[in-house]
Amino acid sequence: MSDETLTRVLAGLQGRRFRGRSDLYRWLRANYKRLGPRLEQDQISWVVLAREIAAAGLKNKKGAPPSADSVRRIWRTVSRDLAREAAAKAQRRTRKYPSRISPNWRPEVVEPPRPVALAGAPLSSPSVSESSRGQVNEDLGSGLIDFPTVDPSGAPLPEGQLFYRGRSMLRRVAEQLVRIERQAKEMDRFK
Amino acid sequence: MDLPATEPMMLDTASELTVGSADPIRIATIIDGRGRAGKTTVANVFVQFCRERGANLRVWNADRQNETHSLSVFHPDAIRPPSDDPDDKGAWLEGSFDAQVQERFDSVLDLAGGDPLVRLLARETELVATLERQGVRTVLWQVLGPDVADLDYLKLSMESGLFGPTTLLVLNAGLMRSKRSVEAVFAEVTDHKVFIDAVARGAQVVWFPALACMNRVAERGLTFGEAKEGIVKPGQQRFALFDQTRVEIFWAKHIPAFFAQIPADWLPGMNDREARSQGVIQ
Repeated sequence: MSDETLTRVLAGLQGRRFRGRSDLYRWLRANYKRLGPRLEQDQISWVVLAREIAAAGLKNKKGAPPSADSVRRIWRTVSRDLAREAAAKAQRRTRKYPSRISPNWRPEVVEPPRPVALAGAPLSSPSVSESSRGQVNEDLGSGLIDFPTVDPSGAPLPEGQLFYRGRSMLRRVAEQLVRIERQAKEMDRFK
Repeated sequence: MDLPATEPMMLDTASELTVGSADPIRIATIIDGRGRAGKTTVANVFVQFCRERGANLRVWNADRQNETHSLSVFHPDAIRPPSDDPDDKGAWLEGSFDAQVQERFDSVLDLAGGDPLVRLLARETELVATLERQGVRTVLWQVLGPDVADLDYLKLSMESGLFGPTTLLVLNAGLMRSKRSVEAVFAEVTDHKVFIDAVARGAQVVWFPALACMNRVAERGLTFGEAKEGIVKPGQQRFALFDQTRVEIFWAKHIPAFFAQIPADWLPGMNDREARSQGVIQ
């Protein structure tokens, strides 16, 4: 690893990514693919790598030249972070609702019993539609409630269940929760 | 704070048992919850609302600890246990339910905060099923404030068998003391597993509306009908104009809207329910 190479890499680390991380972390991360196979095959020792890094003027968070131990430790941190990010990225790819829903699926409209006013109470009669496409519809004025019928991994939930508030539950439970939330919002308007 | 227009879930469900039968099913309403959750306030509203509509309702006041705002202040005919002794209270409660089965009236029971009285009876005698077989439907009103500890009593009710298919979770918006949103303040309760389980097992959730001057009405020992009319009892100051208006809105608008959320066959027999079933009221 030449000084010239190191200087070039350092110049590339001037951005704002990985704020709060040491230059050593950022450098190891930037060179992960290049160094990984060599470190795994013991082609380069931690002592040698630390010496090279120190000679190039790279410092740890405290501003001191890094030791072999700290290079090894931070390498592990970098490896862990990259693995987590890869897993999260893979999960995001599977969260495309409704990945397992038939393209022919159509919402089923459920009409609740017609309300009858008691003592002239102001009442409304929202229609509730079932849909597996996406999240709860926050358009409170419309009365439409769209719940996902798949879990975050894209797996379909059992019949009658849907995903709401981070868990699967019966449709009527979710509908009651939505109703009381809606009423709470109305109450807040008049506070 | 105002109560929104409501969206009743199961209205107009008066069954053949409740109307038009020689021996209609009777309702035993049990108002339970943690101390300071607002049980007596809810019970007081319940009794006044039902009686204004002609309900044949017997009031059982098992809360002997609450003297100042006791249900007996507003309803002198409320029946109380002879003492606070658990055995006396137990015998009184059994006798009261027995009388309801024999004499066929609706009832409401206001319990002291955390009183195990009715839960013990429920556990020992399968109270809900036993009364149902005798034509008396128990409707549990579990009053909940924004404190997650309020759910302890709901959990106890579920474990004891007092929780039945006719349970109402009454979220008391009158307990709001902060400027935070109602939804945020109650979120810990409504997100809780116990709450979700109760709804999954058939409980209905309703908001009980707040009344800013509730304490001033209670302190005067006025009914809501009296307060909205501006009635002053001897030795009392007159009720402030805007408080009077608040009570009027609460009593004429918010409380009927609150009751409209409750399935009709979970409520005592009332004139307007019978009228509705006969097609007089649509």
